Amino acid sequence: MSKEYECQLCHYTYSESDGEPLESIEPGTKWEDLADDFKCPHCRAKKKMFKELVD
Amino acid sequence: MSIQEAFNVRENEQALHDTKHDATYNNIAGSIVRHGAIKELDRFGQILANKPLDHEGLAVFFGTVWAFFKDVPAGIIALAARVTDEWIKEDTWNGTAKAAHILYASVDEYGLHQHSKHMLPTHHQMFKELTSHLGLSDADLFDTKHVLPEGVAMGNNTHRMYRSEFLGEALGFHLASEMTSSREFQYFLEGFQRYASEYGLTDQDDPVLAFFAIHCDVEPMHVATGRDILVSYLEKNESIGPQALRGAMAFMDGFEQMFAALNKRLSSSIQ
Repeated sequence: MSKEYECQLCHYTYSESDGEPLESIEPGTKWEDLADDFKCPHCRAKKKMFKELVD
Repeated sequence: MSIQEAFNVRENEQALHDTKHDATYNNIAGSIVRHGAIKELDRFGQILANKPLDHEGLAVFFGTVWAFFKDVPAGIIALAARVTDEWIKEDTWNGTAKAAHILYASVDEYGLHQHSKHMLPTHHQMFKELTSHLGLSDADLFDTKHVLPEGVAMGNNTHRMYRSEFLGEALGFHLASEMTSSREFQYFLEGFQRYASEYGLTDQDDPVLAFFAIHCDVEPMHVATGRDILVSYLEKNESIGPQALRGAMAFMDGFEQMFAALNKRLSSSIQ
């Protein structure tokens, strides 16, 4: 199941189903498969600043 | 709750999630990071990573960005004053609270971010310390043969946009400034750390690099507060969205021209 993760600083949301074209991340890329140095495309916060969005 | 605890709480400050206004914000933020200026900045990062800059290259780099950076701190304060003046008419008790989202980005610039330590060096003072360490005099930094006109144009635009353009345009301009800062200072820091010995630094953590390092630490929060104030305005007046996009693109166009000019000049000015 596709998950979403939100930057706790600027609220950018990473969607596993969409990936992130800005960072050349393919659709379907799971959060845990993103590199440890992944940064928020909007504010450049570190990966640890993201939290999974839960309905 | 004690008196001290009263100073620790500031509620209802962050803009709430709102699908419609989030979409408008995301459209603006997406337009910023998709702009060609980011590619020019990436190229500049590669130049810094490839080889150390020589004295001439350092003078062109720092002289040009100074022509831009010098106007940022006071511009942010001018915008915060405008937001206060406007918001206080409609929401008297929260005018300063809303403006704080802008002003927050300037407390570091003025060295006021660690209250317990009173006043710390300002970003302008850190810039001077770094450039002095690198052997650049004021004459080097202000020499018109080093200061590219595109940097002067960015400084002039910054001075004008923050103070006198439509508020929406100024907010978009500010957001773009913060979003690009969070990228550019990472490149600056990494480039100078990579050639620490060539630049006469003790190591990668040499204190003179504080001017770059502090931006890497604080810029993500500045983007966050830039988002909060923009979304707050969108909640108040949706029509500010197109204005903000125009302001953001005005910043990005000038930023692209400045780094394209730096890239052209510096690609032939490495040690």
